[in-house]
Amino acid sequence: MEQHDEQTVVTNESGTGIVSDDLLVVSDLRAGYGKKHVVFDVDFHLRRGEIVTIIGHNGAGKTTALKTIFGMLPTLGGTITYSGEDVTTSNCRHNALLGMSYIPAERFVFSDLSVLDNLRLGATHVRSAEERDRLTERVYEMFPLMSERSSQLAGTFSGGQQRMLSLGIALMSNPTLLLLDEPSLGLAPALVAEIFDNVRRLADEEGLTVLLVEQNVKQALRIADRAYVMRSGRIILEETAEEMGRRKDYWDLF
Amino acid sequence: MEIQITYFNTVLIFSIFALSLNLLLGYAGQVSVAHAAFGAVGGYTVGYLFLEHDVGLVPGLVVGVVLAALAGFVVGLPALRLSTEFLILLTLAAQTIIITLITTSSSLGGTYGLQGLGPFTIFGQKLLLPSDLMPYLLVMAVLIYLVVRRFGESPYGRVLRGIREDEVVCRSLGKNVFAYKLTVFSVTAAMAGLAGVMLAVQNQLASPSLFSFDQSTAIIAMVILGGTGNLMGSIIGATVLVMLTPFFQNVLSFAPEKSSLWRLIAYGLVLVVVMLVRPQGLLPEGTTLITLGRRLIGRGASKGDGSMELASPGAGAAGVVNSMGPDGLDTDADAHALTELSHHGRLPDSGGDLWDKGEVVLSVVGLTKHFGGIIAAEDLQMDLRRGMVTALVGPNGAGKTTVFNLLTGAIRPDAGQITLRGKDISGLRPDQVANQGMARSFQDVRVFPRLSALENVMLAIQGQVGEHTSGLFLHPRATAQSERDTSDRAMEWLSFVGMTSFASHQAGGLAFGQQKLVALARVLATEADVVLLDEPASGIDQQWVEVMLGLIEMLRDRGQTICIVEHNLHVVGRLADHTYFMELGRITAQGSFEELTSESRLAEAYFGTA
Amino acid sequence: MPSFGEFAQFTVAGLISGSAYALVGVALGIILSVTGRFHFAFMFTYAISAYAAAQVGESYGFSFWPALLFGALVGTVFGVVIEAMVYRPLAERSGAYTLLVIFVASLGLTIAGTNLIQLIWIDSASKQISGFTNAGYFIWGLDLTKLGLIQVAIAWTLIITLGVVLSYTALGRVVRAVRINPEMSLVVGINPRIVFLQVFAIGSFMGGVAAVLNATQTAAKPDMGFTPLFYAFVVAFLAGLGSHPVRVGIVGLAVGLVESWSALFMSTRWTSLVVFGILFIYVALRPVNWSDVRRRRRRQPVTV
Repeated sequence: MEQHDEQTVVTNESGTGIVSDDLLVVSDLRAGYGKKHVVFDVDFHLRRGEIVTIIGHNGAGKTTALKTIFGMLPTLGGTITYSGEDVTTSNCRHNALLGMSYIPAERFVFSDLSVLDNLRLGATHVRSAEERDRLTERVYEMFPLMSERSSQLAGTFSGGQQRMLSLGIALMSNPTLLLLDEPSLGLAPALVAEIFDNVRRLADEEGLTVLLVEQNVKQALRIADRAYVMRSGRIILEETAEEMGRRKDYWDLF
Repeated sequence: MEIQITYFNTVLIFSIFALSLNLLLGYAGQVSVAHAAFGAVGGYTVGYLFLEHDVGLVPGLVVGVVLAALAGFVVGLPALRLSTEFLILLTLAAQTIIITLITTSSSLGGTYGLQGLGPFTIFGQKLLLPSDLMPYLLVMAVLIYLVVRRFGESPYGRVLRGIREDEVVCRSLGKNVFAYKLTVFSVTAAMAGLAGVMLAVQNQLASPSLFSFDQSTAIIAMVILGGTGNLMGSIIGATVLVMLTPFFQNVLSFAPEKSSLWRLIAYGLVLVVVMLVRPQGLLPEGTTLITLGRRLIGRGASKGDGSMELASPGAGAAGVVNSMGPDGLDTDADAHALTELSHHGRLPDSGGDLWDKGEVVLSVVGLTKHFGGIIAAEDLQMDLRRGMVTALVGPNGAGKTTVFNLLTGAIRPDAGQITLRGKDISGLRPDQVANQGMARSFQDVRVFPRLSALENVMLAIQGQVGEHTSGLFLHPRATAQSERDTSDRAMEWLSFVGMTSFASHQAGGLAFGQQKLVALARVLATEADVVLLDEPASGIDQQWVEVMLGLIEMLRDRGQTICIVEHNLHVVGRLADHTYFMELGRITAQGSFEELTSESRLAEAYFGTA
Repeated sequence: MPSFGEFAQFTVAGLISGSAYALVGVALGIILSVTGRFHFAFMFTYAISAYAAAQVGESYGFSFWPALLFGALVGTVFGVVIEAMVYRPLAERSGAYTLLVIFVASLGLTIAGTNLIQLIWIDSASKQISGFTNAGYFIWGLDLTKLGLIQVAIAWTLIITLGVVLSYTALGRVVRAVRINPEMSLVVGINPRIVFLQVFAIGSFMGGVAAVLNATQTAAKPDMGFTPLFYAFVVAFLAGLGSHPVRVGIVGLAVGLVESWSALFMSTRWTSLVVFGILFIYVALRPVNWSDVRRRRRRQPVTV
């Protein structure tokens, strides 16, 4: 098990304890699918307002870790603490209410529904219609294309546009933590930069904390503050984005 | 006494129904709700021939059974490519069509059916009383039991169970799944036809209600209750459910009308309760009276319910590698197994430089596949050389898995040629490709969960006599010998991966890393010239990765031709003698791993640009 | 060669029966497409609705419309209970075998339930729905019945209402979301369990209405649900699971018309074979792209 510079203290079960500016603390996480364990003894933490990226080869367990944090997969060991609260056994609905939002790597929109319906679904937990409209307007401001084509079916948009929409959907729940899974997947290189710029902009403007899983190391490092590297289910390295960006290549990390 | 014998006869008849359905549903995993309808074909044939053409029982029976087999074939043919949901619909349609045809045909007696059948004569003896019929039914039931058991508890049955668990993997091991399915559909329909004939004879009547959808459900209930894949269980299930009628009537003193309703209600409840409480049925697969007795007494390992979890590699697997000396062999039984398995000589250290000198075993030229507008593979050209590990790497979506699918025939290429040991295998089916000498493993492992580790590997051994009906029934001694040899060879492969102590464990109960080792043994047991390993290092922890790498290196040193798809570049760097770099369906670079990783353009393709 | 008058009459008959097929097709279709459960027991909730309506009319003097509503609600309750107490627990523990296990259980429920109905109402071979006085009309040279017109009107009202609900209400949006992308619906915080129950309620209700109308026309019998279940499968699959209700409805009309028109050329005994034959051929010949629906279903998380 790796030791990090200890800026945080993991809270105990009753929620008391010393909490620093860490929004998310993951400790000794073990995760997988039934018998197939994919993540082994993983530790990391996110401070509020940070953009942290997890990079690593396909199948390293990055998506599994993300899904487990969000509650889509059961935790097989370890703890997850969010904003001081133990969410190790929480399901996604509870985590969504707490302010987590997850954007999958594939099939990240409701393709047979309109843009507006997609956004409305993102606001499933929003109580008042006014609040929902306000959030919708905010998304439209950020992504004018969505406003123009709000009744168009999501599946008819290009890959990059669908990605934008997925960001919009996530924003509709007014999240505090954004869990982003491989936003560059399947996108033409030109669009990739644009998506990442949007993520950075959102994080800055909305004060979002972002945990970003990526294969496209260069782009991720462009917007991230810190980076973890996973290989075969374990974290093998943690560096600042700057440090990692200075590396010549990443072959030995993958 | 005759009343009791009547019930006994009914039990025998439904045992035949249940045993045959178990072969189709329990062993081969084909869900059919049409079983009673095949019985109708038999029963109505014998009845019609008797009434209209004075045909005797024996010829009528033969015709009925043949027609039922034909009906099974006709239903089985479209069923070959269907998933479970559609198979249910297809057999539901078949059941309904057959019964509707019967009910609406005036020449078949409509809703009342063909009445007044019999008394039949068999070998000169008139069958008037139930006790007259009983010996023949007993002989038939025993015969069917023996035949079904021969099919099911044999190399042939092992293939059926493999089909049940995972058709695709079965095909990749060289089994012609379509042929097996068609055979089982036809044979079990014929047996149902036989039961239908005797049901008509017993009741002296062939009516739609005798062979209705309710009846098909009753037979399913018998199989489910007794346990899928368990023949004793089917007989028990048939007995229990048939005897419900006298139970309700005599023990609980219900009126006959109510009894039959309660019986049907009981059938339904049996199905629901068994699913909720014990889906595998009363008796687990493969249990016989002997093993049941043994288990009750406490002897014998519990093979069926095995759910052994091991978090770390067993002593076996790691032990094999750890105890390896510098030359890759040690002195215990596993090493002996290795030398047994050696077919090829050992090559000298093959590094990247020697790649060009290796013999080309698999050659791919111009391989292309488009899915609509998406280019999955474009004009691929690659060689796999003997005794070398060739790796396919590339960013997400590069098309690496598609290559495996194209090579093994799971997908038909749009263009291109694949040559294995000089023979063109382009366009062959997956089972044919396996027979020609190329086998693959799967990224999600896909062991046959309800088969033991040993059975998993045994399925991969090629050329088994007992896997074909001719060998199975006509050459029992050759089959038995072949089975012994198969078992021995499979054990050797299990020993190679260090899993001998888990041979009789249910594969589904093993830890994931252990399953990967079993799957590796399985693909190796095909003794294919070319082995394609899909992500051999994924989903397992460091220690297990080390074990896998060690095994693959051993194989390579023995002269095996291997191709791997891997995302863990650390593994690729260590194993690969030659690497192909793929992007968006094209091979854009090749060479040694060091050569490729020193190219900045490839780094850009893999890690993106700022 | 049939006369135009005959042809028109048979067309009308086909439209009427087709509307009934449309209704059950939509009802079963929404259950299948959203939940993926092989809900054979639709046959049972169908029949029990008719019996409940008949009984409540007989014992408590309910007039036709309240009895219809009552019967449909009884079917609804049974449908929801089956999902909550049988299908869901089975799905949670059966993993890869879920489809099969649920089918077997559904089959069992159907057989047990259908025969239980027969047992409870053992004294009557069938039951009549009371309180409906039919009337005949002769319009444009066609013989029409009041019941036939009501059947068409109710069926299409329900179908169109469902279409509107799905397209324009929050509930409809959520239901479609679960059908289209189960993972994303979890992500946005939808509770699929509740949606499943809602869908079973909707489907069972619509099926129940169809059953009572059917029983009004003929009578309620214990196995009355078998043929409608069958036709529902045919219609739902021919239209494509996940299609808009109106589209499914139109396919239902088409099936009704094909069946009715074939009666012009063959005895009515054989016309049902035409429909069964259509299913057989469709299943046999369709390309193996059921994998799309399977893929959708396989992604469905077991529970949350």
